[in-house]
Amino acid sequence: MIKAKPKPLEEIIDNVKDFNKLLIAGCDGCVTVCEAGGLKEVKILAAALRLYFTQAGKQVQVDEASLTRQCEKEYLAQLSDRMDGYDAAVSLACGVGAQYLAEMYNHKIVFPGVDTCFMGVNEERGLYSERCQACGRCILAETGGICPIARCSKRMLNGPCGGSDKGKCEINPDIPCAWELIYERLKTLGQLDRFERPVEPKDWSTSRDGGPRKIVREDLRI
Amino acid sequence: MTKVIKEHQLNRMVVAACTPITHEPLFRETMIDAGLNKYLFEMANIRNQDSWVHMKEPEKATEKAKDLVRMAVARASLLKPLMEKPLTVIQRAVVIGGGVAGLNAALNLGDQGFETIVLEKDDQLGGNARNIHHTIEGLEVAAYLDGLIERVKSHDKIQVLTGALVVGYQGYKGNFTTEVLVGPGMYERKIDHGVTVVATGAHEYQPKEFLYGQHHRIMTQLELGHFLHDQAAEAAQWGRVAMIQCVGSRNEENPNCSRICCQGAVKYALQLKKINPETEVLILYRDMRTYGLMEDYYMEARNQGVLFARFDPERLPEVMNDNGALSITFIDHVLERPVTLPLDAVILSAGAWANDTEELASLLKLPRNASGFFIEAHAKLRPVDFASEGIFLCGMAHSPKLISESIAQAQAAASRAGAFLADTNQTISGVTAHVDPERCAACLVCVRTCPYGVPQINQENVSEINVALCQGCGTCASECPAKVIQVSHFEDDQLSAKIKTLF
Amino acid sequence: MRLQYPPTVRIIEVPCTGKVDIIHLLQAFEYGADGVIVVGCMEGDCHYQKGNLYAKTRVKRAKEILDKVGLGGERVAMFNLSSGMGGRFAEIIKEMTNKILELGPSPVRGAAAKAKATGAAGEVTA
Repeated sequence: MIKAKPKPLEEIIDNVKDFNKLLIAGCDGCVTVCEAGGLKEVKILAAALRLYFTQAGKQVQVDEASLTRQCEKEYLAQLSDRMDGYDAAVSLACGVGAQYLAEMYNHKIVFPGVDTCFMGVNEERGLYSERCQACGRCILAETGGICPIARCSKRMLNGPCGGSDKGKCEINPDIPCAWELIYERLKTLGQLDRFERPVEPKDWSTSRDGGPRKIVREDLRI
Repeated sequence: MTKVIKEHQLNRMVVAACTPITHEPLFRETMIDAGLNKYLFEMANIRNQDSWVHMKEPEKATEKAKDLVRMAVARASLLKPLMEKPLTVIQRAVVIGGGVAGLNAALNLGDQGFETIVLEKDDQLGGNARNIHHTIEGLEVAAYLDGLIERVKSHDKIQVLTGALVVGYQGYKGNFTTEVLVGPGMYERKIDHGVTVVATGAHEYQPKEFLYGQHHRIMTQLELGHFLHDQAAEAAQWGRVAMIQCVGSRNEENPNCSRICCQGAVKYALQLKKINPETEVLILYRDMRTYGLMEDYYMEARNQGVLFARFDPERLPEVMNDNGALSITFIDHVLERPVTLPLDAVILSAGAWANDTEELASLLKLPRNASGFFIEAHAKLRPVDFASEGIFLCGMAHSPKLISESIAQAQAAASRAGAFLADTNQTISGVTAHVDPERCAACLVCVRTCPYGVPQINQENVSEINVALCQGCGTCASECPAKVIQVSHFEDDQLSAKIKTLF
Repeated sequence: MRLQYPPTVRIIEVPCTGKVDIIHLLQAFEYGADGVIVVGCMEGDCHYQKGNLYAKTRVKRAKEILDKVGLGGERVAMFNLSSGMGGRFAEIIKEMTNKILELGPSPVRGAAAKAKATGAAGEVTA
């Protein structure tokens, strides 16, 4: 799932300090799961902003909402009769949701309330780590289920670089060397022969290098 | 009150008086008598929280009392009637630990007529008491223990499982299931029971200090007890013995006082004097704590010439072993000078350390303090209960204790456990957490934060909280990122109303 | 014991500090509290095992928020007490009251809720 973290409060205050009617819009999807943008965070941010404005002597309306998913028009539409009442919104959804909110209500200023970080896992509560970079052509079948794109600092495709040191990455010794992990996993799986077949240079056009991407699924469309 | 409720057709009741701890149940009964749900009652404690503690500021106290009443009324208006489900209670007890405390608890429960199963992880019953020959009063422990074990074993309501290891524990008050591996064959057994008594005991600390283990006459209190019992003639030859107190107690590793070693030192000093009045006994102590009537034995020891010298924990006595010849150097607290004395034996008054119950505590989800002793629900109001209902505590698992104290606490625990088993009209508290499944993100936060592991993601892919298992602490409700958990009777709006009404 | 302490606090009972929601802490300030005290059990002695540790993280976050919105983080504090520490409770109320008197009334209360300025500090306790 998408992992995000709350933006520093001072940054949000700086963005919204000149507005009079604000909506704090959360999302019940990924950001709720990673505790950056669910209804609880909405309520906390809204309360913090109300306190800020009140102590500054300003009468500002700060309202709260949380949508099932901000990356869907139908859910965003639930705000349609309210949005006119606000000068601006702070979206606690990921960058996707925040943009879609801004797109749908293009006459309103939408500020991001979280920093969207990556696609990853909850290793445990409050500990998230990256697993996928959405390169558009998955090679996990070749690499023992460990992605060298997301987990090797240099996105090496044919084994580790010279900076692999005792299983750790030279970029940061807290990062395990993805290729060491891949080697160990393939050994466990009895698939070390995979190393005898070099991986062809990757076609990065399915990744960001090909520009903003789109999926058209004719099979799902009528 | 019932009359007023009926007369005015009231649907909520607020009492501004004293503490709900003692009086809420009473007023709730009244509510029921008047035909109202007992959760529609709220109390403003204008005594403990106000008149008592602000008695010199009556005007401000009156203002505060008004606020407290206002708060109570605000909440009362939002209270909801709650249904309590009836609780079935399995009429069987499990006692974990077959020492003096566990055996007494089992015997008491058995005598009350409740089927009781004693789980002892050792291959024989008796625990620490097997290492003690007599009490400070001179009572014979072995004879008592043999009798106790015999009564337990022959009791038709009690079953004893030795070599029994608890490996699983599930359920809730009145309906527990304990999984045990029993005996050398490690055969598995599942026991359904209504209450649990935890009596896992403690053990004597094995010293690392004062050359312990390097000389056969540097021994702990329990070892001395055996020595005096088995080799009294040899002990009679001793010219001088030093006892060092607080070994493995009141230090960084174990900050607690072990309570029982002071009387132990006095007991053995008197025994040494009895064997040979000429033996010099020196007790090096930090603070002598022969509490209660044991002070008489301390006086007796002084009268018999036992020497007491205080030492400073910063300047510990030093035990020396010069080719088998023992001596001790300590700073005499009167002379303020080091004194060195040759010795025949050094007795280390080693502290009582909690037994390793880490796994058990996590299985039963019971709180322990930093030293590993279990923590009762309330030191004064619920001294033998755990906060989790249906589980009770006694003996040294709770804190270091004399045999007599363990017996008394075991009987208290057994009577609490028995009262629980006997009460067949119990209900499950309505104060439990509930998930609104509509907006639950199945994020697992509640699953991961609940100290009792109650919330589960169900087949509908949302969190579900079993009200029978929920303890009502509210941790999940406050952590839930989607704000879809409420604790009945402490719902967010009920608390907000209290705050709001103040301003 | 009936130890005397300033009549500046209003107590809100909760089953455990684990139930003390950060939203309620902030809400108290929104309504106009000058200070909020969370009183929980001793660390390691929580009747519900870890409720007070969760409360601690929430109070810490509430402090950070109060600092950033201009109220001052020192207006909220958590204390860990056992039931046998009534004396310390009275001291804490005195200390906290003095601290709040030093800080002055909450700017929120001054600005918004001019209604009943009783000098009351909200309080949440377990």
